[in-house]
Amino acid sequence: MLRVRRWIRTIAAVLGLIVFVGTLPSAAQETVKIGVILPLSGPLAPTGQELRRGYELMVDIVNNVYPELAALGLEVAGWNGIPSLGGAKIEPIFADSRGEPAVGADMARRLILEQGVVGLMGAYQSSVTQTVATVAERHGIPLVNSDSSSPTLTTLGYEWFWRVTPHDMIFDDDLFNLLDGLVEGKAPGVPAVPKDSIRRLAVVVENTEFGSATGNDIVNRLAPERGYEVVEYMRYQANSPDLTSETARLVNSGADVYLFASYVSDAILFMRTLALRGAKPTLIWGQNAGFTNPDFVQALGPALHGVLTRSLFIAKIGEVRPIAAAINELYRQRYGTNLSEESAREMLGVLAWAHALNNAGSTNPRALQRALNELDIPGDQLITPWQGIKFGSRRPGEKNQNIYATGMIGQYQYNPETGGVTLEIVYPFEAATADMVFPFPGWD
Amino acid sequence: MLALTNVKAGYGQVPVVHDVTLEVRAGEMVSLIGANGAGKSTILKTIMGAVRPLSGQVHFLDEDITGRPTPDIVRRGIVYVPEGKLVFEPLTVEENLRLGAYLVNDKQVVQERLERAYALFPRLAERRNQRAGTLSGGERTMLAIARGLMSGPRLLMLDEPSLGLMPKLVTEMFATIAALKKTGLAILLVEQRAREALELADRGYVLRTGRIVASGSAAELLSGEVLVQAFLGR
Amino acid sequence: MDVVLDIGISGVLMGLVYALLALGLTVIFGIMDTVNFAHGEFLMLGMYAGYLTYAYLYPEPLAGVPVAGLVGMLLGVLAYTLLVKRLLSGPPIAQIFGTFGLMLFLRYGALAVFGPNLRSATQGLVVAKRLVVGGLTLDAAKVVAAAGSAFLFGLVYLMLRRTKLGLALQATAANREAARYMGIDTDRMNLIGWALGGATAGMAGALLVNFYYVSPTVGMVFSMITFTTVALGGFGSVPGALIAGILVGLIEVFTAQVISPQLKLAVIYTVFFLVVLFRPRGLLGAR
Repeated sequence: MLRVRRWIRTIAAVLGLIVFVGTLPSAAQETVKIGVILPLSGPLAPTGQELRRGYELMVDIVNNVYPELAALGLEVAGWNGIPSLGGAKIEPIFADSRGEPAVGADMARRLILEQGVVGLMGAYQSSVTQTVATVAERHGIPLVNSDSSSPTLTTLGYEWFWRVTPHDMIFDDDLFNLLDGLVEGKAPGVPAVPKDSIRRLAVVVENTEFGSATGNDIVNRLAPERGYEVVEYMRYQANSPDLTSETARLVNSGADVYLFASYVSDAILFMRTLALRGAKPTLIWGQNAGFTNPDFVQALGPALHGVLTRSLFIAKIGEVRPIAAAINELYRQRYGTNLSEESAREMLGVLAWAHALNNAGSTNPRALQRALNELDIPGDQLITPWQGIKFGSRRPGEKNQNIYATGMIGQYQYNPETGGVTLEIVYPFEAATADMVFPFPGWD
Repeated sequence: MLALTNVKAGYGQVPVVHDVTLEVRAGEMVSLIGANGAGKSTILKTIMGAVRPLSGQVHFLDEDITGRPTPDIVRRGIVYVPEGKLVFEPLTVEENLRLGAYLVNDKQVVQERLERAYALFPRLAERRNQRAGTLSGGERTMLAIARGLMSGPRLLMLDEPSLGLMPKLVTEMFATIAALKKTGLAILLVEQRAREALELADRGYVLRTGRIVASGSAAELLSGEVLVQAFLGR
Repeated sequence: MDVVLDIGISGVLMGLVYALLALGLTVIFGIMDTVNFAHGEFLMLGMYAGYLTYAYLYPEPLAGVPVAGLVGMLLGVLAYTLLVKRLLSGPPIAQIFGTFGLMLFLRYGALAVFGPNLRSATQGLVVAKRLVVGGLTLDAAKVVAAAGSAFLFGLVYLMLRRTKLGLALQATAANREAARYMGIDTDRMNLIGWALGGATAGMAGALLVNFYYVSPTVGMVFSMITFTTVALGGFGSVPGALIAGILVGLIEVFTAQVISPQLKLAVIYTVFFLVVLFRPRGLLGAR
């Protein structure tokens, strides 16, 4: 009897030791795996790399201590890991979607089942994000997106999908907010202008999903809602060898404002052809894409003076947001370039994840779901001029969209002293970095 | 002048002609006769370097020209008027003739030969600026022969010149060949029309399924039973 | 300003550019019945040759035209001797896959070497310059490209019609076997065809640099329209390529103006389809 009891005690001790030894080191080295699906190869590979850099830098800031950023009030910079998880580090696990929806879904499945990730991010192209979202939904693993802009994604009723960044309809709203702001005299440095000088719109979009989404939203929703007249709605052949007759048509429409949704190649051709024709509308605006591409700026240079483009992130924001300036500096030291829209997007996504993990105090999916639903990050923690990150609904049928997300509208301005062209922020008005050039001054 | 020794040739690794030994002497006209598919054209193409012999040698003017590239063989003085005439249809009659003298660099010489060709074939002179594609069958034959003469050959090889011609034109064509023979040009004529071809020739060879089955003077071949055997396989 | 005239002239200018793109393709096809699927990539490399000359040697895109011509010629020679020549003994499908493979190789090779960025010339004699002629405003760069196209067409046409080499090339195109019996080295004619095709594509590329961006995938933009032009004009026909190019340019601008910009390629392909249906050899094709 005694021997039996001693045996039991010994076994218990050994077992206890095994459990102790098993748990102790692992508790100290516990990481939180977040899977990131990006187009890392294929035609979008350069964009994928850019996205990846933003992700890596913000993970680094969360996992370590950056006193200079913490001093500016960035909470995660002082964390040294996720505090409520005993300082656990975020471990990014990258997967390549090759830009294909089916591959993206497969990667999501493998990240969940083989890698045991607690959450997902990505996948840039809205079509890929959608298939990844269905996988996340089926497995009950949260997907926090900060790099897809199709408005549909947040209207599908997903319980496990959250979007930090604005979608295309929000960007379109921004444009009309700017137009209305001009009429109301809110635009920086521009006295109120009569609405008639900007009422007539020409909408020029490539004949793709991206183009018609923007075009239809402006033509069918916003223009009638805000009292503008669309005099030309042109859907043109993307990647055309020549856009002369399109441009002639545009000029002959007599529109005050030209609105473009084009990728960089067509954007360059349109601007060049407009310049050759000496077209002089009151405003020219581009829906991001080609209009924020560095190659676009290189090709056109000073001729762009006065051209507007929407963007999620403009590096100039550092002038009004010190945190953004400091992070941009860090990014520049590491990668040699300014933060781009892409890298900024992923930084915001990681930031949302870090706070959600900390609030949940657990990696249990249900706890994370609740934390994300209740997330409320104040605006002073962000590199964008938003009020914060808080998921909800901005329009009927919408769910888990950051209700504070907005875009920015930048204006290319030529500086005769430096000979350079910079993208100044003119919207949101309170974050403006320069007076707006209005009307569009022409090409010379 | 031209001598083939034990030539075996064909397309790919499949031989069409076997062990052909054949000779054309200077100033001589030789007819090579045989039924359709006997391998006559293959022999001519082998001489031209268009078909590579599997074994055996081709000598011309005592030099081994076996497997030499076609331009080199043309340069040495052999000209081939292919079966089916093969004129350059989109080009004019005169351009066709000038192409016949492609390897002749002396413009004077080309001009002289051009005039001689027009003298020999007045029909071609009339149609000198017409596209070759618009010519009749007889005119094409004339053009193909005239074009062959433009290079100033030592040996003229004619491949089935009578093919597809009306009977009247056939007679005319053989008369032309007879006239050419009188100029002292060596001629190797390949024909299915054995009788006409042998009547013109000095000597002849009979080809059956890729082998020479008879040879000799034209008169011998015409008198014997050989012809019938060669064509009917008896 | 008369819209029809304005649009018509820009259509003709662009049409001449398309014709120039089609020239090299039709020359190669005419001589040896091989469709060079990598033609758009020859153009692309011509554009890079022109652009890099402009960016690193002399800041004038027009200076890149002879350089690009040489690069294009070299490319044609290499493509023929290293690839196409070896494929000639195989079935025709081998040539199709061969030049298709070359297209992918050159496109993705350029992507690896030059990166995905779009580059543009920003200064030069005719870059972003207007030419005002009788009240019409023209793009000087396109006028120069169109003039270059007309000049090269004239040159190639004269070469084909008036020189012995041209005659030999035509003979090879008309009947390769007969050409060999004339003593023409048809293999060399192939090589010359590829050199000529490459050189015109290269020069076309450098002329485009004056008003078009350069990128590794730019060949795609022009490929379809080039193939359509060649087929419309008649495979192998030099005058056909010229007429078809201008026709394509005009259809393009007038469709965009009168019907809808998004239908312009659709209309071009419809015309092409109808021509193929009712006149398979193209407008001026020989066969």
